[in-house]
Amino acid sequence: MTTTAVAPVSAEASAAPVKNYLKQTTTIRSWLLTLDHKRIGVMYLIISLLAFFIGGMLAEVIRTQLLTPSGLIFHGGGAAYRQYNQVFTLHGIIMVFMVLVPMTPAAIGNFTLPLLLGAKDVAFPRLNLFSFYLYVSGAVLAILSTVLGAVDTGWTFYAPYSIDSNSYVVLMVAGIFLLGFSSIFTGLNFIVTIHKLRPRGMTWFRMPLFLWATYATSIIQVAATPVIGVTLLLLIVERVMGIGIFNSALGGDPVLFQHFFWFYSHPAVYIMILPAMGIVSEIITTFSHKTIFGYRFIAMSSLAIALIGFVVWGHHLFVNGQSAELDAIFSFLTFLVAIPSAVKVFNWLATMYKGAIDLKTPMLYALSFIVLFTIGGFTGVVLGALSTDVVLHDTYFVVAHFHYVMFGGAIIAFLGGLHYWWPKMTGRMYSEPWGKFACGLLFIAFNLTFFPQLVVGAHGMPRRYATYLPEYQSYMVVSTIGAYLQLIAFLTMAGYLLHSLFRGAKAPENPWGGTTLEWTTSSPPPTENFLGTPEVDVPYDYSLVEYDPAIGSYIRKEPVPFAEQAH
Amino acid sequence: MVNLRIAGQCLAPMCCAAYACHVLAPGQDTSQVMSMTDEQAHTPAPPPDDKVLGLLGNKKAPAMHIPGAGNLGIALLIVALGMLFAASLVSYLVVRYHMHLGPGAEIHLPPGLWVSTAILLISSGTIHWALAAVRRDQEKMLRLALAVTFALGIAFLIMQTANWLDLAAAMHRSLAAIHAQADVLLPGGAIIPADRSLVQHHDLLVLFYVFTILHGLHVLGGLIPLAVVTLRAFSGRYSRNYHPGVRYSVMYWHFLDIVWLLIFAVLELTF
Ligand code: HEM
Ligand SMILES: [Cu+2]
Repeated sequence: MTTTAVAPVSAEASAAPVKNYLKQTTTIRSWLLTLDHKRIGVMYLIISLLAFFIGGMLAEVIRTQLLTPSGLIFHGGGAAYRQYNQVFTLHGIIMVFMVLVPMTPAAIGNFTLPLLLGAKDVAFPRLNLFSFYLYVSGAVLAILSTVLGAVDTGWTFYAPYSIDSNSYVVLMVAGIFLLGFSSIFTGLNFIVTIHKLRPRGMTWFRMPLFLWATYATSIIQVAATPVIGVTLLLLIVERVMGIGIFNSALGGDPVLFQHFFWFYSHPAVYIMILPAMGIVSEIITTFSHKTIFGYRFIAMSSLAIALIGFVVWGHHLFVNGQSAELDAIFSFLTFLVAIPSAVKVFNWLATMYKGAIDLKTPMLYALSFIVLFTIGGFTGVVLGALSTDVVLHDTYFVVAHFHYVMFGGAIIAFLGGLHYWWPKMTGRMYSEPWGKFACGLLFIAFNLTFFPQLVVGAHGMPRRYATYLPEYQSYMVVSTIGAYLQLIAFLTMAGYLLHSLFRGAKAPENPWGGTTLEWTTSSPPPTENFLGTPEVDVPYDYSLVEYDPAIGSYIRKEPVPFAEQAH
Repeated sequence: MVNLRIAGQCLAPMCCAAYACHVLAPGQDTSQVMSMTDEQAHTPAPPPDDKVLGLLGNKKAPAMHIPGAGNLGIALLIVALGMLFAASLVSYLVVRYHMHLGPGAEIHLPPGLWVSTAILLISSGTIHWALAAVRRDQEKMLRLALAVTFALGIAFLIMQTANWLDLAAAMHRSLAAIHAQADVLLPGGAIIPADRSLVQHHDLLVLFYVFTILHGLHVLGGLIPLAVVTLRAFSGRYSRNYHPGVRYSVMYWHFLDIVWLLIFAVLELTF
């Protein structure tokens, strides 16, 4: 079991050609029943991108409605406004529960986690497939509820409206319950995988940072998600049995619902943002060709964010009947979260300092992330301060805040990761100029959409209304134009990514010069990922890779030692 | 070589489909595993792999044991379910705190709960006995202890069903009383009757059902893998060095026991 220095076997190099995971078997059954983490990741990716498309189109409907103060699509009050409520509710539910929560951890995470670890798969592949089908069933229930009669409660399902509301809340909530369990099992699987399948030499502090981020995320998934499960279960019981748990008319406590909901949903925002930060850490160091600055700080700040994130949920209840003492405590704890977040930002900046920065598409996304997440974080601190939140609560300022962090943060980083690992996933290179164009357009369009919302929010424009005062119209028009431009950026992205699948140049093993293990196997990797078990040393040592113009790829000066070669 | 495809690897009630958790691609090098134990002797030889789930498991992809993975998996499952039950108890306590139960519609917990509690406690003892037996390679004892535990699990569920039926009568009475007095009907079927306290007794009963049934489902979910483990014990699969299924069952069973004791204590103190 000692080191035998053998170069990793790529599809071309091996004597008996090894088929990559996409070509290994091609039947539909071999996809639907696959135990291969890469295929499961790709299936998650496809479904969550479909959900993203639907959620995005709903957003365009919202923005179109808000072009005029009295509403362009739904006007005249009553039923029409209820439809508007349904549209933004579905937009929120889809984006949070079907896109953001599963997309980065389950889609990107599944594909990359074992590769980054140098493992063959996750610890429990069958459980992994099972999680995927839980996700699909949850999504199906949610769609069913929408087709039968859409929910109009807002994505937060606040009681008592969610109990009186005459739409298909029970079905929708049951769907989200299943999505939650999918998330729990994925987290469980990832924690065990990281504990048990690290290769020889990869101590905790030699793990790639994305793994640290995933580890912290998984803790939240396992420990916080069950609470929303119970909450939604009680909501169903309350509706079906007509008893008073959250409904004050029947002696229940609506604020209890909010506590429970946010006990999950605040940590859930870190389910979205932590893996995003992990992706950004990987991209920044790779494209600066410089070792990450403050490795331990970044790793530990992930854990700190996850742990502090458990005790700040009360900042969503500052004006909802929480005692002043609790308000003060939650406000203080909320400020604390900003510290580890800022630690990461400073470390990324320090990593780039004097690095050989290569402004490829993934790096542009990472830079966008830093800018947008910083704005989002700062607005979060403004909301975390009691006196300002009293004014800003339930205004467009909150809407803009969470879009800066969830979209500008989580989605933008996801897109960075998608571009970063696209060659590994598909074996093809996308068009770099088009990639840069779409990223630039998206960045501008994003700010056009959401910056005006910060301003009108500060002016007091409330959220979740189908109409607004005429004085806000110019801002709203700019915001809508931004939303349309975003659509163009996304369609462009879809265009060149799909094009690359058929016409793209073949991707080399290591197109970007990454030092983590996934870049030592072929693109796309074989089903077994590696033909042997790699041994690893300190991560992010860029003196080990150099560009080889002959093959258009980075190569390792010393090949990764493989513990055992399987033949 | 020991094949672990379906042993109670994963005792989650909701993940029966995922029992066989331990599949790794062949060629999985055991050297990558951090802690070495005897169980490593069971590494299968790597046949060709297509990593596809078959109807009865994939014959080509052999089960592969990662030492300690199952334990950690079950521990994390217990953390998740622990949060689930903790949140239920908190919600129960808050709702109970808001209630003002007047005299009149007195409802008492069925005394049968003490019997089911005793059954569950004893079964926790017998499953521990199973673990002690397998650690000493006492196969007969192991089989007996597992079979007894399984029977006690069934007995617990039967006893709980009796308790639920017992309370159903009281539930029925309270509902009838509420209907007799109802004077406000909210849209959606909810009612605000003149006697608040009656309704609240009713709500309390519903909550009793919710939490005890939630627990009962987890017992049921534990019995299925326990049956598999018991059958495997009868076919002589387990030895002193190799008995993961037994270990996982013990962990999960003790957890159910503790959760029940908490639920029972809280119900007894607040009903
Ligand atoms: C520096 C870190 C952050 C701070 C201090 C912070 C603070 C806050 C506060 C105080 C609110 C409540 C505003 C109100 O309703 O009046 C809020 C809302 C929200 N935040 Fe953050 N936040 C931070 C980061 C994030 C991140 C990273 C995400 C998601 C990825 C996020 C997502 C949300 C969402 C979704 C809401 C509002 C949900 C709703 O009411 O519909 N936040 N934030
Ligand atoms: Cu929050």
